[in-house]
Amino acid sequence: MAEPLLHVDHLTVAYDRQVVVHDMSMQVGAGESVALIGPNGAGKSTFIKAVLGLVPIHSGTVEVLGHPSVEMRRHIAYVPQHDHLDPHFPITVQQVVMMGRYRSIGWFRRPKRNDREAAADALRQVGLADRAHDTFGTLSGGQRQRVLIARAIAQDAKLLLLDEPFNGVDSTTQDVLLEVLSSLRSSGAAVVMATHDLSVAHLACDHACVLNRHVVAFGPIDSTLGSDALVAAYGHQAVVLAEGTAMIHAH
Amino acid sequence: MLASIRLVTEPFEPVYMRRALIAMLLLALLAGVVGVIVQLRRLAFMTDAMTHTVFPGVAIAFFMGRSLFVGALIAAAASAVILTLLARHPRIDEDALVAFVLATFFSVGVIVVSRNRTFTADLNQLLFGRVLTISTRDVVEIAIVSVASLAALFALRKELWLRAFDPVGAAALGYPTVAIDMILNLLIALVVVAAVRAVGTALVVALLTTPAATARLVSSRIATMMVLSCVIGAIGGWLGLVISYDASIHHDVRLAAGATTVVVLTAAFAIVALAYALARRRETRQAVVS
Repeated sequence: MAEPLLHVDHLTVAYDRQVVVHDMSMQVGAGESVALIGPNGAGKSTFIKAVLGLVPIHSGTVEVLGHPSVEMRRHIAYVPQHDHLDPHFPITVQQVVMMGRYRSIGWFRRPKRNDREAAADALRQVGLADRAHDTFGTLSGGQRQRVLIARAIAQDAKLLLLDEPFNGVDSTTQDVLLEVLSSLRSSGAAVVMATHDLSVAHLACDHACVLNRHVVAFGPIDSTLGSDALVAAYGHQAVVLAEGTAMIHAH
Repeated sequence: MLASIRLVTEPFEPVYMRRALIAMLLLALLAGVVGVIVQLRRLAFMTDAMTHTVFPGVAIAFFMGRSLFVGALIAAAASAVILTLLARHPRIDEDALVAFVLATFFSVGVIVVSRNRTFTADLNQLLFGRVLTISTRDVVEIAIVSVASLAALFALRKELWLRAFDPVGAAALGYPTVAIDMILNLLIALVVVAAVRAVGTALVVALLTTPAATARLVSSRIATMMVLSCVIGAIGGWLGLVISYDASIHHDVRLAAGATTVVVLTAAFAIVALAYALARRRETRQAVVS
């Protein structure tokens, strides 16, 4: 097997006197997509932050293409939830997308023609080319999420980390996100997304990692998202429907 | 017509008024740009704190017979470093931190000053500025600070925007956010110190917040906001000088130039805010009608 794009080996993250992620191991290859499934506080966001080097790692390693992930950050695109950003910030859609190019542009330099083309192309892919000059905050929630995806596309990253990208978005945005993620994967990128939504997890991902401070189950999505794993992760929030399947109560 | 031209030119016939005008225009340019960043990063309170933390530096420099400018700069820089580093601590509330650093620095200044009475006159200048007695050397120093600060901000503009808009995203891309914060806070300290001599510690914060806040009312573009903020600051500085000169020469009413400038800036904010609110209401009504 080729070297995995993301290689997590016995990762333990602890802060504020609490173990948040315990002894987690996982491998994600190029073109693969993993859904991180688990209840609130299961450590999904903490895991993503650990890959980005934003929380201290207690033990274990996180490698991207064979190097410690913190050294590979310009190849990792992080897509936050759109509502984590200030909608009143005076910035245009185009300027947000251009931020994905900043690392490759470098300190003190200004965007060049290929950067502007990459940003415009990314905006076209999410169907918002006509909103390039609008203020970011004037867009709907779903459109803002698409802008953040466009920023990740413009970054031309090998690994995409998404935090609840489908949370509260309209159906157009959901379709665009699914299409964009699938085209990014076919061009060789790996995707890891935290999500509550089992149905979009099935649509967007081929692997699942059920998490509740430790890995409850990891593997191909159809065999992993069974009732046993979901009950183990969610407890009474998981409702077993039929043999081997379950759904999660909305919070 | 002639009278109004006279009003523009006459106050600036004395050379001290011309120096004051140049200083005010330079500061308007500098504070206009920095003020927009202060606003975007919500650093107004920290900026205000730095106008107080310069105090012990000035007091100590005074008693050692050293340059007050350098003393102020050292104290402001020290507080900027402390504020940047401690703000990272998850259990320290940033507002509380700023208040506590402000009070501590200021109390050190008070202790130093209370040991000697000769300081009161200079203390008065420190509080309220002395734009009318500003020297050519002061103007040159303000010009150097302006050029250096604006050049640094221009060079770092991409990183500053990213840090302001999406702090987690900036860190996720591997940017050294502590270093970026440190540079910005030190630059703000530098601007505060440069402006203190002209308008005093009590009024610096107005130069750094009011024009930017006024510009924000009418624009959602950072570049436009900066231009507007500079223009508003420049008009405010010029009007402040003209009004205080006119009042004292022709009406025998003594008005402090720095304080008059601040009142003009606040009036501009109030007028723009009111005009903007009225225009919005009219547009809303028209939208309902059509």
